Amino acid sequence: MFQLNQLATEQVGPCQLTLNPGEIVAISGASGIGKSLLLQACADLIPHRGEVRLNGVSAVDFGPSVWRRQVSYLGPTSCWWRYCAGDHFPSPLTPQLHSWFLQVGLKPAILEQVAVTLSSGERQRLALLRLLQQGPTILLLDEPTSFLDSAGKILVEQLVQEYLAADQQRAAIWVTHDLEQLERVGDRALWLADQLTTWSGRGVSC
Amino acid sequence: MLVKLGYLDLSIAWFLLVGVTLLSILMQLDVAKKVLIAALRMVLQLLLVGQILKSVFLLQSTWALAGVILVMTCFAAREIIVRQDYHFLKRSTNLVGPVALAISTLVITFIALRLIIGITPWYRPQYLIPIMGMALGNTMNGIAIALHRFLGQVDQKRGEIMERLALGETPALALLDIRRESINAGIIPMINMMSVAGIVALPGMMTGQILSGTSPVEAVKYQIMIILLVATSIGFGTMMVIHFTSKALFDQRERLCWERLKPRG
Repeated sequence: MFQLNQLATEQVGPCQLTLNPGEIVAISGASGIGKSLLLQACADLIPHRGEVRLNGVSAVDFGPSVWRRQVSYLGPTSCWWRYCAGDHFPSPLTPQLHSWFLQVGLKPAILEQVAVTLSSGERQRLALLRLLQQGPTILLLDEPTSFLDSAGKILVEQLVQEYLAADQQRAAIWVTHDLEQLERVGDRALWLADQLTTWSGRGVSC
Repeated sequence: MLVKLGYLDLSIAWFLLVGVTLLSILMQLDVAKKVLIAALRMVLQLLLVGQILKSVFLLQSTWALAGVILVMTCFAAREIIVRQDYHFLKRSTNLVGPVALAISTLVITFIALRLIIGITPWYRPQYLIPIMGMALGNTMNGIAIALHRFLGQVDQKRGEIMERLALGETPALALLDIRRESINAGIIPMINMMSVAGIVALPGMMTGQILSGTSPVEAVKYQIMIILLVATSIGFGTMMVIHFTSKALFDQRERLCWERLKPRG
């Protein structure tokens, strides 16, 4: 249902990949190999060759912003352009957002906090929730737990899995350097070098 | 009638400036050279422009007038470009500021002369050159400041813009805060000037007319017209430059193409 067809940028690819409904494909690879670029190309945020399709419809047949709301990229760091954290969320929180906050270990009181004073772990979880509240179909997660401790990682993984399970159309690509996470979240695990190849298990140097 | 100044009279003003410059040397302020060079430039430029304007007025030649206007516009355009810390790799994008300046000031000057003052021919040099000059100078400042702020903010907030696009915002929305801030920066000097006009500062044109014997009531009317038109020109010019420069930062798929922008140097 979500397809990369010969997708390539100047630095990475061409890559071939098909996501099945509900699936998480976990991708790892050496630093600087172009994992982020691949995800950004999927969201049509950077120039690329090849094609990306959602349910058979090519990205170019969507308006750019419509596409990005459906196929949403989340980077490892986030920007907060309003004064308070809460200014980036609906006020009051929807019941669903409220439960998501609690689920990833954030107190709703954090919304009162000035955005620049948030810790990197708080920012990372808030950025995920800011994205999920828009209801994207395909999640392109670029090291979404890199600033979290192991308990926090598990909470975020569970939230994403539940989010995907709530609608059959949803699926995700999850880029991570954490090989345990790779095996934990990935229905399939892939390795990105020049191209995407099947991850052959522990023991591959990275 | 205006009392004529001789060059000897001007030298008194010169001695005053030289005096204060000497004082600055005594106080080791390290500004003497800069002040004297700037003052010399000013004197030479103004003496020259006085002679040029005199001959243009005498000649009543449309070509000479067009030449003066062209030179004034080119200098103002160049000033906009050299004041920027960033430039676009594509040459034509750097011309957005100058083109906005030219369109804005020419339209405003034409409206002032043709529709408001209503002289014939509308391009009489005694009216055209001073009014165009005021529109050019102020609009140039507004555009240069707005563009400078805009490009600096875009470079600094690259990550934020990318992220807002990733969240599905359109380029117009992703840049909204930056656009507001830069246009504000461009028009604030004008707003400040209008707020204190007549109370704290007497605008130069009005002062000049009063000195040359015009009734203050008439001089004030001219000044009001000029300020309103110049404010319009600044507003129109800054909006135009920010609008088209914003467009130049994105491709047809609404991707931020920040590599099109390079810091100067």
